[in-house]
Amino acid sequence: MFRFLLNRLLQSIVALIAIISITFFLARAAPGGPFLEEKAIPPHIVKQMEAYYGLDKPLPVQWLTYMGNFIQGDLGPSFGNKGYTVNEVIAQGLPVSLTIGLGGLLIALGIGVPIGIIAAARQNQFADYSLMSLAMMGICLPTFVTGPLLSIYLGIKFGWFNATGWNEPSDWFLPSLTLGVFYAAYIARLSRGGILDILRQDYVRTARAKGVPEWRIMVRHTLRGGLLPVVIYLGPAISGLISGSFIVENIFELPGLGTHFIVATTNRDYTLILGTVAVYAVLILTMNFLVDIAQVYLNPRLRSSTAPEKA
Amino acid sequence: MSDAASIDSMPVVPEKVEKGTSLTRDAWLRLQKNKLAMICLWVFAAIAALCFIGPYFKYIPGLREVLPDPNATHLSERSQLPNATYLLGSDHLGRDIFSRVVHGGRVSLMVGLLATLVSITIGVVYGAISGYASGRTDAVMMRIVDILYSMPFMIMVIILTTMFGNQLWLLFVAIGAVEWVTMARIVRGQIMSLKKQEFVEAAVSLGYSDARIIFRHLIPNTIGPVIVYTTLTVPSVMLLEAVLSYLGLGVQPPDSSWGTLIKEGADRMQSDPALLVFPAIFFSATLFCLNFLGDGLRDAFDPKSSKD
Amino acid sequence: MKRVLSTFLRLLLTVTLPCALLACGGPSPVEEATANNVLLLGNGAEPKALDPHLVSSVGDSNILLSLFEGLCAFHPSDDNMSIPGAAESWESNEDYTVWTFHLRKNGRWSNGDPVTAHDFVYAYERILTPAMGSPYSSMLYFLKNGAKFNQEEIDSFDEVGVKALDDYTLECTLEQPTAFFPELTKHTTYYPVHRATIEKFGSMTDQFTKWQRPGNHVSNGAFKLKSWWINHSVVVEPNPYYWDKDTVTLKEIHFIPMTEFTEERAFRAEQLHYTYAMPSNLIPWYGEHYPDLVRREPYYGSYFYRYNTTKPPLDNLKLRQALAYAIDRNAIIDNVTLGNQTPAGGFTPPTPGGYQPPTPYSFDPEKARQLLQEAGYADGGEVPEFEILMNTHESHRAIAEAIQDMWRKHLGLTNVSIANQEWKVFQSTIIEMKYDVGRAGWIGDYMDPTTFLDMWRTDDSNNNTGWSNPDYDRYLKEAALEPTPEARLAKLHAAEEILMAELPVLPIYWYTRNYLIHPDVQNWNPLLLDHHNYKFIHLKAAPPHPFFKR
Repeated sequence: MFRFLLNRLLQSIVALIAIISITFFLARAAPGGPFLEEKAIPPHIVKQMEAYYGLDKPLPVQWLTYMGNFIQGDLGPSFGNKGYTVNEVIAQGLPVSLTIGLGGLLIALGIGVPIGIIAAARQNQFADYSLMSLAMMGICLPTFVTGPLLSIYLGIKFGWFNATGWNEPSDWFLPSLTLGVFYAAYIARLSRGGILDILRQDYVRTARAKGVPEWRIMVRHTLRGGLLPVVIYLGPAISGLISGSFIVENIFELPGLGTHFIVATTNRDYTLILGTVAVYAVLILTMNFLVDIAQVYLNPRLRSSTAPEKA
Repeated sequence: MSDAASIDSMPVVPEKVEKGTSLTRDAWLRLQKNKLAMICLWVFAAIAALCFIGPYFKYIPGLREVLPDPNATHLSERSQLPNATYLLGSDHLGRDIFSRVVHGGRVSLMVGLLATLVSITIGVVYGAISGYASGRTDAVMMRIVDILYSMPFMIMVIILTTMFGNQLWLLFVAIGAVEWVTMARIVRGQIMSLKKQEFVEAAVSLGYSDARIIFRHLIPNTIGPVIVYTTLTVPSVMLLEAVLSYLGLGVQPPDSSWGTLIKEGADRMQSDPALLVFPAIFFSATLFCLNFLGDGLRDAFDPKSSKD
Repeated sequence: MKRVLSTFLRLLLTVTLPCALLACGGPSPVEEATANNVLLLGNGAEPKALDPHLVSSVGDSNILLSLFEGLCAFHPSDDNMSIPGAAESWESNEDYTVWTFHLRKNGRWSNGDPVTAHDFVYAYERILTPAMGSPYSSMLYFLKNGAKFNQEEIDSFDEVGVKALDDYTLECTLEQPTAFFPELTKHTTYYPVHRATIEKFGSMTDQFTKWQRPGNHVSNGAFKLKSWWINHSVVVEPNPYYWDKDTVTLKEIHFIPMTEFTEERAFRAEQLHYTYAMPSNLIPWYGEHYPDLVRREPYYGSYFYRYNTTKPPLDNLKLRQALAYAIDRNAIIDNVTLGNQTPAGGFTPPTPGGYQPPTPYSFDPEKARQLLQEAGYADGGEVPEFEILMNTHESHRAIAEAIQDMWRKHLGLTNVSIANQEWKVFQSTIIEMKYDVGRAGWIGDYMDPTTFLDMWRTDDSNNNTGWSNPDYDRYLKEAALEPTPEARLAKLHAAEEILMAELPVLPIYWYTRNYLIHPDVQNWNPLLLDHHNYKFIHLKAAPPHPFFKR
């Protein structure tokens, strides 16, 4: 097991370096630089600014310098937020994105899994169709529709929450709900499908034949295997919830990492782009790693043989 | 098939029960028994037919008025609710919403279905190979997936559009590039658990090639999650198209797609509700149909359901 | 099934109700803020810097306006007038080439240090030093040898036309007669900086130092920096050493970066006193139902399209003119932009102080068709393909779609397409002149037509149309040397007539600012440049407004 973990860690580090390097060159290849403004800055000034930030050196040299600093944990100065380092900008934004992302995950699981289970238990009955239709609403209405609607109704009309902003403890709820209902639909679909697959397995039939009550079959025999697709999906979902939250952050005006990433991209704030991508990459690599472990845990067949095989 | 008899005698080789020409026909027969799925199939066919034939209505005198030029503005008749002239109302520039929805539907359906197909194909094959191979191959393939996951998609699209301009194939490449990775991970997870099952071990012991085992034995058994995830991919692809069109790839104004119409509608939902509601109804109806149709197909194709 | 649903609903309610009660009970954020004299302002985008020598955008300068004070300051209701700021009085020589400013003796930085003429000299040296790389240093090219020093043609700052005659007397020598120089000293680029603070955190020309942080930041305006949370808010509080601190009644101003859609919702939920902008589609509704909450004020800016005059078919003057006559600007304003903008028959907006621009282009489809014939096209369908390029934004898109359809209707043009581009891609496409027709907007920096006309000089970095006319360049040069303001404006008018005759631009409208403002905000006056002197703004709880029913 230890060898497996170590191996996986090394792989992830190589992947991270690849991600950073590719992003580094991609960002430079995109048209327009950080000092291209609507009211044009004279070329001789742009040269000075580039020299100040070391952007005048050959690209490979810049890359080596950046990677050197990166390994030491120094993500460099932000071009778009003068006076702040990328480390500081991320430190301000990440907690916000994590809060609404994890809140969204809780809501998505809280809505999605029960709906999936009930729908599977009542397959092709009214409850199945109506609950799955309800879940589908979450996908049909994209976040840029649900967000403003929730803000207008729950925030303004009913006055239950603040319509926008990040000032009070309850301000996580509307953004998380907006994110959550979208992912809830995915989770409901995947858990329903997964459970149905298991319900058709022979051992479930056997249990049924033996007269084991339905709920017991569901809890003891089906959930663990049936939720496997959901667990696999959690990796992408969590990274998606945290990194893909920029639309929601924009709708609710939250100072999160998603906003930083989009603003950095439009500003060609190279260092901040790289910094946010690095954070997302670490998140995704970790999540997929955890999911791989959970997958083994949930699937007894894999458990016995995986560790030696992977090593 | 010479080995059919020996396999058939083994109770845990489900797909063999369906072997032969009857697989699709059996599935079709089973699907026909599913009323909801059939209704959805016809509704979807109707929407698709309208979207693909509708643009030719302008050559037919009686129908021309039903679907006027979707890009012709009538500023003095803007933001109207449904009426005799504008069947589903007019938008903020006085354009016919029904006509814009129908014309936009062609693009959205094409992108939604084709791009999904492309990404699902890549995702399934990649995931299956990775899950079956395991060990070093799996590790390398999955780290590549991780890398692709982490790439800043917006920047990639910006670079691709500036290099190649606004082209249709690029749209599919861009969408395919993001959408297949999740599919690959899901299929890989399924394959990893399936390959420990007896029927695979049986196939291995019979000396079948890896390719045959992957494509004939393993992939058909992942059809459940694949169909489920496919029906979930279609809407995200259609909405992604709207994002891409804002980055300069795909549909450009004044042409419409459902994604761009819904985006426009969302920005103006308080003053022009019709601009959000009607595109959203078409969009949702299509997704509901695909969803229940997907469930029906999944049941119909499920190798295990034949035993019911 | 039912039980599950009801359990689920109950669960949801137990989660949401407590928060709901918390939010419901108390006063709204605006009510609370008004009671505490805290002004909540929507401010568009996040500031890139709080260093007056590094900023270039409108939102950034709004914040700097509260933190710093130039030699002259903004009048609360008339932006063509200058009131004493750091300088108590000022005078010029006969031909407006030498200006002398007498600084007030009681001027103080927010750390208590006196504000002296040396601070200004230091600031002007800093912004003009090439190594500083200040994006807007060209604003100081009005100073004698300012351009030469900034472009490394001369090495010694002593030759630049700014001198501290003593601690409280500053003398500025200019390149050309400039009657509106006091206007310029109100611009952010002319603000002083505190030398000791700058040099405590780095060298004079360091762009990236911590001096802009709360706690480090030192400024000389009515307010000083309290906190800065990126993408959340910049908060300023009164400067205790400010010479006119008795005028200041606000305890805090929060500058909150927001997009127009979010701002409108925040305003409705009583979370903002003022929105920087608003969604155009809601302007008519507010205008009809709550006219007291929405303001529509002329703004010193021009919305137009650039023509690429180096590339067929738009190298054809007659075609460019035909296109300009074929746009019904009133219809666009009444139906698309919806914000009382002024149809622009010319480029420079009418400027207080006596400048009326030539406005030859009105909606005239007859004339447009005739010009199209003269351009060599019997029919609009013959005009080769060209593209309207814009950066991605809903309002630009709607305008482009309307214009494209007007050209199709009135001229029969069938080969015009529209393309979106991401912001920076769009800017590089324009600069590299790879476009046909490109969207543009220009906001005046100071109250004079030259802030609009200078950009069309040959090889100006903002020209980007490939158009150049030696007479135009010469008129602008000569205008600067005219002895009287009237003669100068006449010369500028003549230059703009050339611009309109050769038409490298397609004027569309002159800006109007549309925004929402809470009745609690007092003394917020319409200003053409939208530069508000925050020390004159105060808050007073108005009677409950029916719009904000809770």
